[in-house]
Amino acid sequence: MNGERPPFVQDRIARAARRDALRDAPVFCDTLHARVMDALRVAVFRPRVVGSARIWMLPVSIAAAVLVATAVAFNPGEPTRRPPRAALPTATTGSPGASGQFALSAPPVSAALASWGRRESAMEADLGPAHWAGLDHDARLAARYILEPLSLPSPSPKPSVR
Amino acid sequence: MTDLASVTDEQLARRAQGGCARSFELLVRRFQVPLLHFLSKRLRSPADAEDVLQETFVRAFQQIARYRERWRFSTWIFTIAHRTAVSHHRKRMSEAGRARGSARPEVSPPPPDRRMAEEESRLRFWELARRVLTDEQFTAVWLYYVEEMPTRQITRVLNCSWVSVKTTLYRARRRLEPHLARSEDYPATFQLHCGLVAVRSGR
Repeated sequence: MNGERPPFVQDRIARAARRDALRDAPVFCDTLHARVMDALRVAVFRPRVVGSARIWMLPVSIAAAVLVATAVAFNPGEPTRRPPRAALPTATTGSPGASGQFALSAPPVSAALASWGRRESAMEADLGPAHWAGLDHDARLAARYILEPLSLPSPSPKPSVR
Repeated sequence: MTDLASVTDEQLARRAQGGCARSFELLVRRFQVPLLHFLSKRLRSPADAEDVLQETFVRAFQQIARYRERWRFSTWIFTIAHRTAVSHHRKRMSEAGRARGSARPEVSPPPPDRRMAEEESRLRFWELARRVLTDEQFTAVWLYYVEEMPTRQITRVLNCSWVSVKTTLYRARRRLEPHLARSEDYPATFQLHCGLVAVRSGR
């Protein structure tokens, strides 16, 4: 790299650099030192500990994930509890004469609604357990995937087979 | 006070990491002059140099937990000073506006009205270095020749490889040589050598 440079070139540059640097070198200034220390006191009262926060981030995240997975695995899902259905009207109101012909030709609205409500409840009763049973299965699988690499005892050794 | 005066910079830094404000104050006292020296040459204005010096120590105190003893404290503090100076320089350039063009004017034969200033600046090495060198080159030359910092430590300051530092120093010397050759400090043989180099490189 220094093939085409005579040896005194670097010496000359070094000498010039040092000589010019020493020519007007600053001296210690108490005023500037006090200014710097005041800035330190104002800007930062205590040094920030950046590294330790990063160190604790990973274990805390893993512990939180394990906690959530365990909670999900040990609390099998139950069918959703719907708020109680509003009471359906049970009887028609009004004068029987006004709606008498309609009542004879078609079933009353309240009866139709009640019938529909019963059918819907029956369908939900059939579909709900199957749906949530699938969620249980998925949750147990997820918990097993999380816990097995950590070599922790699995909360459910055998996932339920449907 | 007396016992702290005999401990090394690295030991003081470790005490400062433990919360000893007195140790950090002693580090400020030790490095105030070298850093101000570097920054006053690196930046144009003495006021800017003092501002950057203050910012450097504030940053160092904020990040003292990141310091590792495998590096010398001087290397670490000069790294912060260099980066703070670069940020300050960029901020000043953006404030000045883009109309002025490049931060570092092209080194070319000056117009006649600037001849006197040019002659004067030739006598001052660091004035010239500030004008013709990049930020990294200036810092590398300062740390190498004035602070006498080993190349390995300079790699830490500039955040580059050992080869890159050697290349930076080589290019800096190559940029400085033609200008220094015109001054009285150089013998006629060296001026002849620089002339030959200029002819070979087509300048």
